[in-house]
Amino acid sequence: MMRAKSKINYRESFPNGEFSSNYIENEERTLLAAIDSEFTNKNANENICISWQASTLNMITGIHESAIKYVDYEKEERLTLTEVLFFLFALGGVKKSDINGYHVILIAHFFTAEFSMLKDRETIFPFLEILYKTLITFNPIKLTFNDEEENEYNITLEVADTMILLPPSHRSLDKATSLLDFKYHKKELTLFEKKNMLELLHDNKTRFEEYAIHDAVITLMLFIKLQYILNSINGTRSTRYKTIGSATVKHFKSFIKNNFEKGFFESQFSNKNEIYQQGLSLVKRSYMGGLNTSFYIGEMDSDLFLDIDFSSAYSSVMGLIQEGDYGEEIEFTEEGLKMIPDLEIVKIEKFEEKLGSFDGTYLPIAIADAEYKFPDDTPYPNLCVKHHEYGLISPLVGRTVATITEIHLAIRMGCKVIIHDAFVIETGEKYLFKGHLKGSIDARNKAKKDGDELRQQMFKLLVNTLYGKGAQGINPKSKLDLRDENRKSFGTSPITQPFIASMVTGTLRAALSAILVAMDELNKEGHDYIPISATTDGLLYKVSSKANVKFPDCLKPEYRSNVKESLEKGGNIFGVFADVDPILYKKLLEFPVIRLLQSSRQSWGYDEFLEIKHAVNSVLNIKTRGQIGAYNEK
Amino acid sequence: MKNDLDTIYPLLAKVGHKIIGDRNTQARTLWEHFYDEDIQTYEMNRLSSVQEIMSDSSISDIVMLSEERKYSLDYDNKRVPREGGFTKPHKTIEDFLRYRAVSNNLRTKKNIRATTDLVDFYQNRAKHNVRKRGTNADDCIRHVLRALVQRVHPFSNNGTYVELAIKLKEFGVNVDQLKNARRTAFCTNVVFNSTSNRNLIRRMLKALSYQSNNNYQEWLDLLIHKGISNGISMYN
Repeated sequence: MMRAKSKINYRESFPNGEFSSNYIENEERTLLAAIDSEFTNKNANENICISWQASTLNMITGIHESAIKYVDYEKEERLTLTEVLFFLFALGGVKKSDINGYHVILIAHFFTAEFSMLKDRETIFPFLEILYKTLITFNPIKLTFNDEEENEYNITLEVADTMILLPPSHRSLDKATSLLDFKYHKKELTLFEKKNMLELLHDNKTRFEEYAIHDAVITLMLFIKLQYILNSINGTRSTRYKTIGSATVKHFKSFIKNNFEKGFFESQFSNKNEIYQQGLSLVKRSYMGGLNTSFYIGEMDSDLFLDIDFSSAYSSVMGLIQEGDYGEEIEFTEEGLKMIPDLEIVKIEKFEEKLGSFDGTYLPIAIADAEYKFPDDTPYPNLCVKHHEYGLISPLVGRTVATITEIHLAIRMGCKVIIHDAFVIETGEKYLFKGHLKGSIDARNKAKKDGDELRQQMFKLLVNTLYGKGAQGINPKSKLDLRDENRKSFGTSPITQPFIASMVTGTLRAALSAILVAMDELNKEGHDYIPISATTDGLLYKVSSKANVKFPDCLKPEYRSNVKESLEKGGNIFGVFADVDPILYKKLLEFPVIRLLQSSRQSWGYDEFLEIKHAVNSVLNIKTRGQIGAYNEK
Repeated sequence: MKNDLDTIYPLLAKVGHKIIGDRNTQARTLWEHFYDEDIQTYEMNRLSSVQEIMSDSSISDIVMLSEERKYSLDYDNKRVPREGGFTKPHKTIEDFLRYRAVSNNLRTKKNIRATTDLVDFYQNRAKHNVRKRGTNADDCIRHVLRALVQRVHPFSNNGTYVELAIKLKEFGVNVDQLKNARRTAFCTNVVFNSTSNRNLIRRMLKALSYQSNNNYQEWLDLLIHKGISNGISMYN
């Protein structure tokens, strides 16, 4: 075993007391151990292990050590999990006599790679969960193993992966550690060296070891830093977060606990509530995905195509959700749902009353099972029928379960609607997510201002994950169960709430459809807007030639002198949408659902609710999620 | 716009394809392949998965796997393609499913591109429950005979089954075929639009002694599938 020569100055590197948040009071003897392995290809299907590297932090002694352990690669040796553990204990300064009762947290960045290097990986496999193509444990594993003298050791083991605690844009170790101090950035190797690690070891052992050990060190540092940030964001002291989803739930729940009365969370999220249960089957049918449709096929040239998005789309709609009356908790018996008392019959009139008064001043929680027929010449019918394989289709005639915002827009288009069933949740004064989201967005902006990129990214991730946790498990989605090799359904999260998830996606579909309808209405007045493609929260369209917008006008003044260079660099280069296409913007404000999104953004202090993401003067539209936008200085 | 090196591509949504190169290179690649006449493939690299490693397959470690992937650049038919690249909504979800089934069949069973024209042609036949038996020529003759014996304008009375069979003998037509042609309702525009089909129809019309000063356009308009696209199909 070769120990690392350099020591790390923790106080200097982590001046905020990051390590303290990694101490958990009830955990008496804990060893944080970041591991990494180096290997080379044997053939197309198999690797040869060269070495294991580890960086350990003993939470009792505070001793940090890093080292590399070579294996006999000529004999294609692989270490067992037991051998890796003995390596880690030795490195962490734990004598064999003290191993019993230790809690080991095995940390990797993409653990699947290290897992596959284990000789006896089958032994640990049944205890792991697959998440984003890597493996972790949700709960500690009780592990018993023996040494060569047949002495038995009992420990608990957890597997954590830094990769799944990071935003998708920063999931590589290289990008992730670029958010840390420079000294913890990943060391560089050439592509050739990476592909020929064995040659590197032979040619330049020092360089090999520096690179290899450094990866384990920075993985440990990344884990510590991420845990610290998640704890500080959540107001927790020493929680160990495994996934960003669990951090998001905790973050939201702690906000509710601190800002609402006791029992409020259960009143909004418990699936045992009476009214919640009554409407559940209908609302599950209304929960559909985003609107993704292409309206044009092939190439088109024009002076200007804009790709616009609703700003923080999901969060903006979530910010509109008010507390709902989901009833009191039902006492469940063994008979389960059969015992739900036959309560008041759902009133279609109540839905129609809400529909008649819907004016965009607030977002009612209301859905209806509707049979519908749009006029034959309707170009963009907005009601969607869900197909299990192909997603959402918007035919002229059909039957669907839709939200109030969608049905309201359909009626504006002259659609004939027959309501067969409906469900309305009465709402109160309090907003469920608004304060929480505002707090997160403000904190993110502050982190951005302070230059704290990691914290900024984590707040962005927490905000973006909130909707996903609210919709988790509503529709069956399976994953591989490693215990019995079958697929099992993803469960719900503690904040899964189908009424809210349905209103959020439905309202967003309605808002996106409102842009299409606005264009159609403007075209009837003589404009020539052409929608190209809609993708969940945004739309690519040809700007009306009568809007008289020249290409450079869509850019901020400072970027207009060299349009091509500005577009190539990208970033925040575009002007305000309301100024670039004022005709469409003004028209959009006629739609209540658009005004709702505007008001949500305004309540957070932002004027813009639509932003320009791209501008081009030629498009090739292939199909949904297949667009190429080009710019050429004609 | 010309897809050339002076062009930059600020917007790129890749339909799930993983293509090598920077954004501009990837965009150019997709743009070029959009116009492929046949389905093309490319090599895609990916890491082996946990499931593969733990299964009985030959893959036992995290290794880079190279897979052949088909370019999937045909329209998804979520709306009905119309002339000039524009689209309109489907009337019902069943209409969409018919288009989609045809598209899937072309891509997976016939292994050809599901162009908007081809999909429209086959879905139109499916809509009218028109099935193809025999060769393209057999199919074309069957529809000509139906129009002929059912006297669909501009076809007129050309004599008895025997007389017609004699006139159309060179096309292998017999009396039984002519009698059968009366039993199934004629459908307009279900004959595939190809040079050989158009020539075959003209030769049959000449054999039946029809005359035309516009190359039999009225008969072709009745029989041949008109297509929907004009300059936007992938085959330009």
